[in-house]
Amino acid sequence: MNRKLKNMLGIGIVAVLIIYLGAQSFSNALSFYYEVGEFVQKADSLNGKVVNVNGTIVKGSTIWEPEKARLTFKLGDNNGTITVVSNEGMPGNYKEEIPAVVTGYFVNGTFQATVVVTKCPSKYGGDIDHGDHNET
Amino acid sequence: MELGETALTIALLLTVYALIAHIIGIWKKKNELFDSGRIAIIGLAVLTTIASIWLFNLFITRNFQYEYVAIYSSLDLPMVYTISAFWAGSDGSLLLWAWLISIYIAIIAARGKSYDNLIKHAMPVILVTLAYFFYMLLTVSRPFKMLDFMPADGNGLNPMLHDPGMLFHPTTLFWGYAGVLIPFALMVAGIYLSDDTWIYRARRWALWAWLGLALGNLFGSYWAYTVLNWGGFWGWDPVENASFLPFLTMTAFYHSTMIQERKGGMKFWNILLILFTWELVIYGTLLTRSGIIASVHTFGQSVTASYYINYMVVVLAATLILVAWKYKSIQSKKVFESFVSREASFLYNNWIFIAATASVLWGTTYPLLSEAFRGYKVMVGPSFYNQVNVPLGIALLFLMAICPLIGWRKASISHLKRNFTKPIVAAVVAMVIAFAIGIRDIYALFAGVAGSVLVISTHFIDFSRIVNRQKKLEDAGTLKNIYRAFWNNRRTLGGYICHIAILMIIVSATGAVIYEQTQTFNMRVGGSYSLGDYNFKLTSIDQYTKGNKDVQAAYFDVYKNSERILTNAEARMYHYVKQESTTVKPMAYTVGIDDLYFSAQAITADSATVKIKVMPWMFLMWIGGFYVLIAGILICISTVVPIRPKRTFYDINTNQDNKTIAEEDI
Repeated sequence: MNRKLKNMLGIGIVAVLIIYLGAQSFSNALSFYYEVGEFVQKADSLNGKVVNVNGTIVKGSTIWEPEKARLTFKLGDNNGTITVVSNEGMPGNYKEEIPAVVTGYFVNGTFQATVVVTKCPSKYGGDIDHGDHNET
Repeated sequence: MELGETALTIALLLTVYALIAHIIGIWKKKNELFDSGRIAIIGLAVLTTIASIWLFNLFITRNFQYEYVAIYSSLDLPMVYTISAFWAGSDGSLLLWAWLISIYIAIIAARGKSYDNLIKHAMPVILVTLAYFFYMLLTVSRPFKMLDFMPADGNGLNPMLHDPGMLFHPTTLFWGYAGVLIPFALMVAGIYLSDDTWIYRARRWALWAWLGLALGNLFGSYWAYTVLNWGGFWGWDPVENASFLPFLTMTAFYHSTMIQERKGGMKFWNILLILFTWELVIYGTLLTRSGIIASVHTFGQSVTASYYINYMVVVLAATLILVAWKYKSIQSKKVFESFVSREASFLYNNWIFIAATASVLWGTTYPLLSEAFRGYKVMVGPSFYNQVNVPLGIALLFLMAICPLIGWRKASISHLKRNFTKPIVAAVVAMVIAFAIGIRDIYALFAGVAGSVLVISTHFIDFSRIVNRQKKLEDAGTLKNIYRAFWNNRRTLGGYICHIAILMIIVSATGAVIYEQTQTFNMRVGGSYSLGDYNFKLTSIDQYTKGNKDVQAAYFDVYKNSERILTNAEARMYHYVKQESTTVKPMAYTVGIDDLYFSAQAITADSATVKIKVMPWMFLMWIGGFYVLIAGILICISTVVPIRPKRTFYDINTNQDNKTIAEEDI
């Protein structure tokens, strides 16, 4: 085997190794992402698995216990609602009636969230208040 | 008609005129048409500037009859953030992008001497893009859209955007995004004309764009660290990945252009790199603005997605067709004689960047593909990115250590021994010392210690050789020799300074990740808690109003070895009354080599739950990124005398295909 072929072989082995390691870590890093309605239907089969659930924080559902740094709220969409408990304190930008994605697992009828992320900062936007205004 | 849209409409008309003038000028070979086209380009830049100033004015005067102003600002918003609300949404961001492009091309148009055949052929590509952006600004992404009523107040800016980072992160990123278009257009013109000199012109613009992309990513990282409370400086979120991808390919492009410049190799590769960099810029915009991706950061919906996708498809198809048409004129010279050579190190460098790009692109895009083809959504966690990119980063570090001293063409064993014995011995000695003083982590020993010593020593050896050469040429005393060596080789040494900056960033990231200590404490006022070498005492809690927010603050005294080293360090929470929104303001204090990072989880009248982190070496990231990197790039850019080979000036009256390119070794 000449030197060039040996070098090519070496590079090829390194490339295959990188791809193999990448593929291994990729499958371990995947987690499912559901809307609340979808999640409610599958909750029993997902018991204990780490998943992501997207929905809107239900108005009037927030219970904030600062002495325990515990946040409880309901996350919902048109097809269902789940109760979320987070012991990670107050997430950034928390507000009712805005979308949030919670990451965690469902156990004993409650979603234990390890991460609660609210609407992206670059997308605040929203409807304009038409209430108190001057007609032009 | 409304002023902003009037200015943009006339700017669109001027863009179309300039485009037609260039196309007919090329076709009919009429130079006077290029002159009028250049005037039109300067005119459209003036008009886009007027439109942009008008939008600033609308924000400053809080004119809520404009929908964009009403959505992104409010009466209680501090003026500095009212101004920066310009680019808080996609409509303003697109205007900022178009504004920067128009300024860049106005600078090119105003410099008549350099308005040669290459730029004449590149300009239509830029003008088509700009016309498309103006069209979007007037139809689907309208910052000057007016409401049929005047709201009493606006919605206000997202509280997380109330930070100086808002002034710098989007602007630097779009400075880079706009800059990428120029080398892309030069590449298209270069292929069309079979003119390899596009690479010299593109390289300087690429450097400018690269600085913007680098700063944009760094400001984003600093913002995440100090404001967003995402828990660190990089989270591999799709938003971050979107801006990181073009940075990676642009870095690869900047390195591989050197091989084309010096050796006439990697021509096809460079074309692909700049094509994909521009495509990734658009793709990043698509990801962050369209709402098509399932992210932990729920994006808003926008009608612009199809516009960006159409543009990407057309650009990709048109460029590939052009490349196929002109493929015979894109033949690279054979430059790789050995796998152990300077040329090969550039190739490996490119492979590493492309592997990193592929992994980040795959992780970012996979959720889309999964939903489209398999019918379910997934998310890709940070562990995938870390497991792939940390080894690649270490490989890059060692490659960076090798590149200054490895020979061109083929490095012999004796050459390797002569150049690398001292750096390797220094690295081994440093590792032994590090091990002896207690560093046991394999990443810290190899990447942090050995890698750093290798990089610094090889760069220093090469610099000392450059100074010695200067001394042999004309010995003017040590200081003058160093100064002259530096000035005469500032492109190379500017690059070395950038390498040192990247090293500082890698070392700080390694230190912060490996040696980070984290603990969450539920504290009562007067209580003391320990983490690592530090003792934290909660001294008091305060609540006050500042501007448009209520502030809850927990104050700490910090002790190390029983000595008080920090007083009144704060952990804060903000409540924005108008937005009915609560946010955590993480606070970072640099003490010696450590950052003490306070992130409040809850604050009551007499207690606080606070996550505290001790993160070593973080200060290196910001010093390396913001000062050393900028210095390095500016030194590179300061090579105002373009380094270019003799080239045949192509007159448009000649048959381009029959031309050959004269090259010289530079």
